[in-house]
Amino acid sequence: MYDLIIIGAGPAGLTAGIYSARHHLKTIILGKILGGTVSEVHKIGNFPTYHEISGKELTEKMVDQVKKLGIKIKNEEVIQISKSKEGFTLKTEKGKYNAKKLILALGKEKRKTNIKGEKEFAGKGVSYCAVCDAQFFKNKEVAVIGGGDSALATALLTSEFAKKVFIIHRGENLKGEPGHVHSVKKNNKIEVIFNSNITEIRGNKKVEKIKLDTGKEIKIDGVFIEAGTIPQNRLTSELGINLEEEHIIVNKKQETNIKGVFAAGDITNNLVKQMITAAAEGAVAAISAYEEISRES
Amino acid sequence: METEIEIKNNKFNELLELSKKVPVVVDFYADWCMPCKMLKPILEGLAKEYNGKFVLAKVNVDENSEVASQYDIMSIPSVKMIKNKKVVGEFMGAQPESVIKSWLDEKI
Repeated sequence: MYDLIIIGAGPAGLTAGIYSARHHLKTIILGKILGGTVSEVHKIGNFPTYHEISGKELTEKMVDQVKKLGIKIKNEEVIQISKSKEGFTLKTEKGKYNAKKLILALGKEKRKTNIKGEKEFAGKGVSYCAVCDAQFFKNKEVAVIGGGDSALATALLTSEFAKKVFIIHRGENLKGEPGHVHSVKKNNKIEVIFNSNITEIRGNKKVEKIKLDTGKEIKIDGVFIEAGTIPQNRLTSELGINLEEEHIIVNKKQETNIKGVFAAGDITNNLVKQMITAAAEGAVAAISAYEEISRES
Repeated sequence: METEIEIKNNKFNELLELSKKVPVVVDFYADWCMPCKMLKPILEGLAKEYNGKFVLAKVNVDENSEVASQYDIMSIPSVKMIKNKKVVGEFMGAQPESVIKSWLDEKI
């Protein structure tokens, strides 16, 4: 029986792990993606301590810190959660775990677009991870789908390798950090095509061109999908957790409507979705869990 | 027999010869790719568990760019199974262990 099980191994879950270790709670972290989605970010410049660091390096440091504090992180996906007499029982594909308290740091995953050809060409020109795949498009032409901050960051990164980058954006304005918007506008390899959607990705063995709903066709070697994210709230319904627009409703203590269940990070209904705020929410959730356990024992 | 090998200097031919005797599972990866890092221990664990039923060959795409481009790698991690010098199956991304196991059982 654990005092605390943290589901999710991104900045929120890892920080919760650090705080729970320092509060001597018997804790385990179960996570599908080590470091969370931020581990795939090219450069992070808004997290205190580093002027610039890759998402992989920063989250690896977090993981190391958690492990040094004696907290185990298991790369297991939780399939089911149920209430038990003393708390909660979790089922993963490998086994069962019991805990008094839970922190849900479930995060978000990248949205797939269901564009015709997207599935067929995944890994054959269609990519969901620019940091992983941008270098395979040296001197080639690529498209980025999306107009948000992650789409801009992806366009900027791929432009370091590709000779031409099209941003295909359904809206009229680029949304994102002003710094990214400015860099995209200044970059002469990047061309933004506004008010357009890709209707089809075509090719023979790999991606060769895209078709837009405006009728335009563009010859292309790769397509990077950055069409937003989906909150991973699949496990919440079994527990009867209240949501607001797909996100878990929390109070200032990161408590949900279900006693013993806390939530932190991108999955919560807090407005700012940043690595630093996710970490802060993780810290608050762990301290709140500790206080609840102390009151009950 | 070794259950795991690391390919260096694009020396892929020996591996293709080996694939005539035993299925070879090739893991195309890079040090800067987080999903690759997640997939690695899963594949290593399965290579031990399957105890010679396949050989795991790790290919760093930075150090073996010729092999990577020969196999049209455009996304990593990318895993391919080679039998008799031919690719008989592949998957992309860090998949859960259960998914990889069913893939192995189907393809070996």
